[in-house]
Amino acid sequence: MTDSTVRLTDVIVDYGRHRALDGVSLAFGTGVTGLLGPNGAGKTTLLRVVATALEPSAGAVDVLGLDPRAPAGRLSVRRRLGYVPQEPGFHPGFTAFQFLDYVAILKELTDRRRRHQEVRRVLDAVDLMDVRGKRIKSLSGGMRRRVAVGAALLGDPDLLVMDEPTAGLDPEQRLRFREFLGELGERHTVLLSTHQTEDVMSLCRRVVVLHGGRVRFEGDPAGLAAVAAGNVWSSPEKPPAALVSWRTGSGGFRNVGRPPDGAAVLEPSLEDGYMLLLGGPDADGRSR
Amino acid sequence: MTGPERRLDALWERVDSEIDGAPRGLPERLLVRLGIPDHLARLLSVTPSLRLSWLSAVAVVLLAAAWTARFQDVAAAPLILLILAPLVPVAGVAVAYGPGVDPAYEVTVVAPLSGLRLTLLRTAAVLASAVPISVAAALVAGDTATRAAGWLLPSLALTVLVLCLQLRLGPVAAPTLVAGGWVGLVAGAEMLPGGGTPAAGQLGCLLAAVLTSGWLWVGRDRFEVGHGYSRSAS
Repeated sequence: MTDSTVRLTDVIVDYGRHRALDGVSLAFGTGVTGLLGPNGAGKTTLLRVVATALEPSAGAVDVLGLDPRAPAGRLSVRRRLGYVPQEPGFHPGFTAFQFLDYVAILKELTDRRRRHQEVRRVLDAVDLMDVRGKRIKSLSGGMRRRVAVGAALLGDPDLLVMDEPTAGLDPEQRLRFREFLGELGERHTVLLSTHQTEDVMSLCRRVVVLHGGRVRFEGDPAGLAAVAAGNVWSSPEKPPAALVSWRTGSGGFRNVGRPPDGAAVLEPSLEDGYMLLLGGPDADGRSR
Repeated sequence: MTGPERRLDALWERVDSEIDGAPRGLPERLLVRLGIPDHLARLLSVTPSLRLSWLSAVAVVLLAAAWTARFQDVAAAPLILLILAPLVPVAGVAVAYGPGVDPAYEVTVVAPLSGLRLTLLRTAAVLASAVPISVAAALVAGDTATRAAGWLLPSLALTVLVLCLQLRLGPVAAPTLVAGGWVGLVAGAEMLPGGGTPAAGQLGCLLAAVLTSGWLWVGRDRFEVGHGYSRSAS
């Protein structure tokens, strides 16, 4: 664990009387780490803590070998950080180029020529060069999302924190974005939250499942799929004993839970493992 | 910057605009003309209270109050001006930067140039634009130059107080509370026998400015992390 870029130890975050993170400990380094969990699981809060936007109520945070609670440490982290919030906002009068230029200034790139070169590099990377002169309010949702990703990439940061970066992208854009993120992950540490298990399967070296503010799983995607080994089966009818069931394209049901005797057990997927984790008795006993 | 350097800079500016199709907006161009470095001009151009529409509205309201105070027989006109003028920068600072005000707040707050540095930069720009309007209004109202400069301390004290309260109370409650307090204070002073002395008022404002500045400095770390988050996006 000595090469971890980010290390959280017993982190607690409270919003008034609501505990959003409850003793989270985890560590991750270079490569793409995926954060999975249902709405309200604490993903966004965790990302904000790592991105230095939020201070935890308790616990220790180490980012890039620095303590973000200390002013000098926080500033150093921010100089090496890129962050895509869940709902990125933009100044309405700005074009894509102007907004990225504005963020580049906030990232202390004050020399205009160098700054504009960097903005052009990033616009090219997120495939927005053709619309750089258009006002952001006239761009599609997917393009705006790419503007936000571009803002995070300015300055070639060591750590990228992205809250649902693939939301709003069409399938083709999502594929290209995965390819792009995969390349970034070879040199950088990328932490992203997503509701798309396919993103995790195709991109992530590590995956963390959060639920109720706690870490339910930490490991590699194959390990998450293996959680459901022997607990996935198919049936012609919906079985009442299954934790989760859904109708497949062939007309039968794919079920997750304890299979009945003689059931046709299937190879588990990452989604099965995730469903089993969240649908099990640890997840407030709720069935999905 | 020497003449050739300035010309080269202007040339690059045109080349940039041509390449990127992103000419500067009017507020940004004006700021650059005033000698503000281009990167600061871009940072300041997104401040709503530095837009021409905002400044024009403020100037119209204050000058109308000043005109009424001087040339119309309205007894309360001087009092209205006394109340309004120091509140102009308060309103300007309240909408300059912060959660719920700046659409790019969440990206901004984790940037190296953010927090108190950015807040003070925008506050200084708001004061630099609002105070001359207040002083001009005072002169129109018939005050002497010395009395017109008397707006400075109340403006400064109220502005810093809003900065101190804004992250605790939010972008609406903080300026509302400060404005309400100022109105109450001025009205209360008017009711005193003799209406209170200007010297005592200035001294009080000086003391308030010093105290609130100290409070701001002690709590400066609060500007460095995000605010306005709730469990809704946990």
